[in-house]
Amino acid sequence: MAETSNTEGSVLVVGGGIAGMQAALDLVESGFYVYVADSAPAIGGHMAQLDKTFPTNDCAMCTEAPRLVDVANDLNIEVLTLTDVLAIEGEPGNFTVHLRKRARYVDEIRCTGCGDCIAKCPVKNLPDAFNLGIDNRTAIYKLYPQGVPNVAVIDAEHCLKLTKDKCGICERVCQAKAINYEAQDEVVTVHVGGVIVAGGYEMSESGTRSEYGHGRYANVITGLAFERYLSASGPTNGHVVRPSDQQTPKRIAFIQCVGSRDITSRGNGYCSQVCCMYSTKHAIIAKEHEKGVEATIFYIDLRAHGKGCENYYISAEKDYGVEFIRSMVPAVRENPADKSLTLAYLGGDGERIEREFDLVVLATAMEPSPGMAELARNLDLKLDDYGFIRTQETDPIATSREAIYAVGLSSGPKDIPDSVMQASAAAGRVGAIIASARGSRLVEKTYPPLEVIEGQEPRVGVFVCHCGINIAGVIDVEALAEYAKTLPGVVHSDHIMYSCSPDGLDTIRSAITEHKLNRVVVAACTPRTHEPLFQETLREAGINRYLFELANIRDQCSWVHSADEARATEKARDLIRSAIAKAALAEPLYTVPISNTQRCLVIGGGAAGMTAALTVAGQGYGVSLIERDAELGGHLRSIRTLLGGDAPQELLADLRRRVDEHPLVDVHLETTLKEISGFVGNFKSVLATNGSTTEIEHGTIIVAAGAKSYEPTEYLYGENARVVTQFQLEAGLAGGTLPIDDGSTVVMIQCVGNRTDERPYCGRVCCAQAVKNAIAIKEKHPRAVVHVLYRDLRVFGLYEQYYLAARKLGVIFTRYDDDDPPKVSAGDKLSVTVNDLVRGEPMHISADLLVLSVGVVADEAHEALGMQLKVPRTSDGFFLEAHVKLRPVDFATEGMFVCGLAHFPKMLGESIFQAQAAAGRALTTMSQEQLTASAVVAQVEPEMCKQCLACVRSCPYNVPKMTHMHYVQIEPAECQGCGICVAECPAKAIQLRRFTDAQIMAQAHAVMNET
Amino acid sequence: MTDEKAEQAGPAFEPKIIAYCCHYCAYTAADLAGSTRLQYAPNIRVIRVPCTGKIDVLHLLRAFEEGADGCYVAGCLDGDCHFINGNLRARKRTDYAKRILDAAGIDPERLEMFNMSAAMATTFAATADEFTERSRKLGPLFDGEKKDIRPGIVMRQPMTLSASNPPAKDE
Repeated sequence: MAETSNTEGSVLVVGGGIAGMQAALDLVESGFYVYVADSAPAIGGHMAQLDKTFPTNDCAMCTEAPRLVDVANDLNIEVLTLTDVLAIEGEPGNFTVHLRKRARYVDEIRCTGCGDCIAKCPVKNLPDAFNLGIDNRTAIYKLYPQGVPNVAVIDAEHCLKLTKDKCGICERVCQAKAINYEAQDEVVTVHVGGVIVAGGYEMSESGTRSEYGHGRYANVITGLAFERYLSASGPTNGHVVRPSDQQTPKRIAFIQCVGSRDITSRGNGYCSQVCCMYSTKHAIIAKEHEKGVEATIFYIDLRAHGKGCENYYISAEKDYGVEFIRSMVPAVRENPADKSLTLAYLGGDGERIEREFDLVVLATAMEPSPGMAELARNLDLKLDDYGFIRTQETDPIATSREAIYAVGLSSGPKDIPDSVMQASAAAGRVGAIIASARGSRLVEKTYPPLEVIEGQEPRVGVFVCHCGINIAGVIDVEALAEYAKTLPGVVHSDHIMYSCSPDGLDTIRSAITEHKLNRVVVAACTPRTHEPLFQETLREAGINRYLFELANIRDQCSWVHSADEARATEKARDLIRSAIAKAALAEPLYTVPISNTQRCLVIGGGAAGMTAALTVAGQGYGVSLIERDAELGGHLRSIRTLLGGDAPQELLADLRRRVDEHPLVDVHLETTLKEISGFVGNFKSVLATNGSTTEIEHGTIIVAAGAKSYEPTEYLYGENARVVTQFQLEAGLAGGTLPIDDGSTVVMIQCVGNRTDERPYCGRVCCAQAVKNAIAIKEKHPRAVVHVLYRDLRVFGLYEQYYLAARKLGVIFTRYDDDDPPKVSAGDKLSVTVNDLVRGEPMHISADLLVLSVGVVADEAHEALGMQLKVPRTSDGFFLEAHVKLRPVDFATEGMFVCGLAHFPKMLGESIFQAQAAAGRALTTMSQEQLTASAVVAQVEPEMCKQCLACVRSCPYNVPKMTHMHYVQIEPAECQGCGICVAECPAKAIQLRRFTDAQIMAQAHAVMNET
Repeated sequence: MTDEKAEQAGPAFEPKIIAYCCHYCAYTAADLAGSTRLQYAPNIRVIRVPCTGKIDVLHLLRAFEEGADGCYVAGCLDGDCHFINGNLRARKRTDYAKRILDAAGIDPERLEMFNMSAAMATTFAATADEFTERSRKLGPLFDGEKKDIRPGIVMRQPMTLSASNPPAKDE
């Protein structure tokens, strides 16, 4: 660790997509200054192009926009667009990085993003790459409407002024005098302690498989293009049309693995991991958008291995009627007359089928971003055979160079939550290197003074959000905005395309100033996700954050009543009245500082728990690590080998040694959590160790409590010694205790106990484990026969290469049907019968050993833990995070985090980076010397208090105390804001701020009455 | 009696229902119902509270005075309350309010307490549908004319900031 006085308290994040933004925000919260360099003219990455995200169908822009705004507004994040890395020198903790910032030709500070230049630009026919060329853009343009920074850019290759010294219109129309044709590329030098590479990916657009006719046939498009068609802010405003005739397609085919899982010279040997799910999403949304659309997905293996994904796949098929056909389509043929497309493929019985479709969508491969090779060269990082940054299973975000981390798609295909986790993980890791310089580079945010509004009449401003077509497609938002003008107290009302985007927030800020608003109501989505963003906007405009109210007319109205526009609109009017009525009674509130115990309790001492503990301790904070077993290690103890060759037992020994030796980590073995009380920054826990108890104080909690292996009841397990699980096989292979030799026949059965009605989720790790152990057998005993009987082989991402390796070694993979599992009977050997779907006849195998691939199942003990911590679990028994995509390691309760198998089955490497992520997130809280107490607390009106002590008895946290002044006092720092005492108080002497009785009554009146 | 009322109201009677939902469970389940695009009866109007333990008998009665045909409280599952036991208190208060309704000649079936977790979006939607159907069968409460079912009780106006309670921090 470089802990010299030269340590820089700053970090360079290369890439401003969702992973880069997450890393930047976590680092800033932890006290470090961040540079975000992105080669594009605006940050946001690929997620900005997406319509919705699986498996929750959350609107991508709605979840990403608040991050964009946070990054844009943070004084301690410097966004450098059009910027690439040139060179790096120095050492961990103190690097000097030279960046090339290409000319924008528009002054970022002067430009207001008004768009006047774009409207007047005469060059209008350039294909808009952000929209995959579906429509055109001008030579001066914005990457996308919600982009950050909200500034235009000139395309120097096509600008008439820059190429031919003609035109110059943009300079003339720009009122802000922001155009500068003389601008030059410049070299920017930054001093940072570490670098996080979040370089993203490229969605292969070329027809790597030319037989599908992409680029030749108008109606063959890529998945990303389809995403733009679906997007409400896309080129067709969310209407899916055929490029050839702009008609709505009725029959859509989705072809998987186009350029992925393809070892020809044109393709990529890996699996792109997310296509099966995003195509499923495309099919669902297409069917939601247009009634009567038929959606058909052609696939090899349907890989639904993520949390919530198996259910999503089942629902697509059963509830939405999406057709899934397991067949590789050899070619697509265009019918010249109407440009429809004919697909020929082999059906389940081997017969040749031809079908016609109106539109074909190709799930093309995710490839390393085009600048990756140069970036890696300039940063001196090693790449893997595919061109991604090389990382290791046991150290999944570390690169070949110390203090430089690779996250997200930089190191291989992955989904959004994994990318976000890796970003938080990198923040946790790099923070350890520069912890000594924490805070040294921070700049404080200054706000305008608060307007004094006490005593003023309410002046309410109402902003109705279109949310693209999420709201406007169901509810007439313009009429709603007009209606709001007629309501009492409202002095201004407007409608906004995306209220949460930077330009939308600008509109709100300006209106506050212009109309002297002292209350603001936004009718949009849910306060659960968007309230903080709008509150910050109020504060920036000089009014108190608590003078704000959200009317939830999307999640709880337009989305759930889309079939009844009239009644959805009526409900929206009621909800807006309710919000206005509440806002009119809102008062300014003020927060108070509270103490923060900078210590973390980690529950569980497996790979995840130990990694989390070491990451927290690495930044200089104390950890209490509790483990219910007598030794550390958890699941990792039963992992003997890893795909890729890393040694898991060496990792285990290393983790144990480091945990034992670290002065800041206290390990408590054979210990469970007996009691817990308190709240973020101020938890008190009682630990129980073999009958004795210890009390500790801590500010955060990381749940890394693991999971169990499924104990099979199927296939003679426990009755016949020849039947074992993959873990027993693994141990047997390591110890040489299993009777396997060159004459042996080994059969593996996948999905034992998973993907069943009882456990309708994928075990995620079992296919890779089977492949791993099959390879191990074949390498040791090349003539042994190994069969793997599977439903869908889900060896996702870069692990795909080992599936190919296993096949090359002669492992026989045979698929069985979900409804017709293999049959096993015991004799001298085991007799396994499986209906071979390819040959169409039963296959009989005489097996020496039957290996069951059992999944990871939730531990029943976690039910009690969940109750103690008051955190939710899924119906499968795994802990439920705050947001599947963007808060993958946070619990909804502040100060609590989750990682490892307790969250969902995952590979070892995934557990490790998730643990680092949980630590990284916990460190954003732990690094604060003081926390801020909520302003939403109960307050006693002393003269009304009758000292009956109803509040003292009813408070679940024992906060109300009698004072010598003969009234009860409630300490704001301790109050949790539940309002139980308020309801109990017979004298009505207590009010919960922000939820006063008068406000609730006013809401009840307003929702029921027009006036 | 109630069937008769429903008949008088005609088949088009759409009850209006106030649903007091706690932030951590029911309100989150409602949002999840949105994310998953479940469709349910547009008759309910959600009023968000931090915890159902905040719900006062007065709020429940006020819903009916304001003209609601039905009202329900939706909180966390038993044992799962984010604030430990607020949902249990809410249930007691709801039961108490039902007795008041009964005494006032209003069918206590118009008021109910439900429990659901943040993940139970389908339960949220089904609850909205079922309670709407129940309220529809019970018919309109006041045939257009509102009554004060709780005479003599007047709510206080909100407190104002006093000099003794200055802002602790410029937020």
